[in-house]
Amino acid sequence: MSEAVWLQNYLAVGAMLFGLGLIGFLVRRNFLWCFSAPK
Amino acid sequence: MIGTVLVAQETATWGAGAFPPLPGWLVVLLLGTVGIWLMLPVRRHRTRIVGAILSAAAAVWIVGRLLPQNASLESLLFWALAGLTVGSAVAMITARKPVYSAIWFAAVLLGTAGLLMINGAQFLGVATLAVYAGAIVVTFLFVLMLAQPEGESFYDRISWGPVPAALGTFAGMAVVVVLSWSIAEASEVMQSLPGTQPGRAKEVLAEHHVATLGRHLFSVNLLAVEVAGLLLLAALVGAIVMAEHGNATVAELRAKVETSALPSEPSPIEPSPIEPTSSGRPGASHV
Repeated sequence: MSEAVWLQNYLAVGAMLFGLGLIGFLVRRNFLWCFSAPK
Repeated sequence: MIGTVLVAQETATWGAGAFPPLPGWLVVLLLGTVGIWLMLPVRRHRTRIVGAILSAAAAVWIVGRLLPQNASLESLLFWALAGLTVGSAVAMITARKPVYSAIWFAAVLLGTAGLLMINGAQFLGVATLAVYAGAIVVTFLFVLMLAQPEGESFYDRISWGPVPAALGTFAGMAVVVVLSWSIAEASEVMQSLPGTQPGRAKEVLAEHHVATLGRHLFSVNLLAVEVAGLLLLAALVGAIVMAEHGNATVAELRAKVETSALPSEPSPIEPSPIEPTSSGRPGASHV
């Protein structure tokens, strides 16, 4: 697998995790997990 | 430079002023938003399965757009670990109990460490596991057990109401879809870019980087590492004991309150209940 594909895959997974962290930050009411989700 | 190449490639592909087709990505945005919203702890458990199916369909569609034609075993391993990471992240933000969120967070870190390791960053993977799963998650569990020994409040177990949760989910999924769309559209340009220097990767993987650090950690600093591990273990046991003691104290207090609240003669300072009048409005006769 070429390095460009590797980079593309990692970017895609990073984008998914970033979006999920944003969702967790916006929707959770528990203070601890509200700030742990973006992490 | 890369931006110029991207713009040139986009213009050549779609023509000036034209945009790539979007309907598929919009369907994915809708599917993902509805799926995750259904999984959030604002609804009953029965809709979580439907939400999981919709979210999985959206994720599979995105991966299908990004997966190259000649997928190798290496890339399958990558996507398996990526699936573990993303799936655990979804479970973490949709879990009803904060303790379960902590466990799913540890699973996210496990998948992330695996992704780092197959990319050649062994030390980063092990450090992620040791620092985050070994220390941060344990600290979270301390906080959860010590701050509320009587159990979490109901508002800790649920998310915001349906409308704010839907808006937040839509915002997050919009970020995912826009970023994935950009990555998928730029894949050809990225593959045409010159690769990184192979010598650099070999240098990073050289023995003197990781092995020396590990040898130093477990030889010169062996005592400090073991003491730190023992301290964390003792703190964990202490937290469990304190949480159990807190549960017992709360139960005793609750029993005392219930015993003292048995029906007896009304207190003179207790206000008398307002009797409803013939009009049905309580207290209307006093007006």
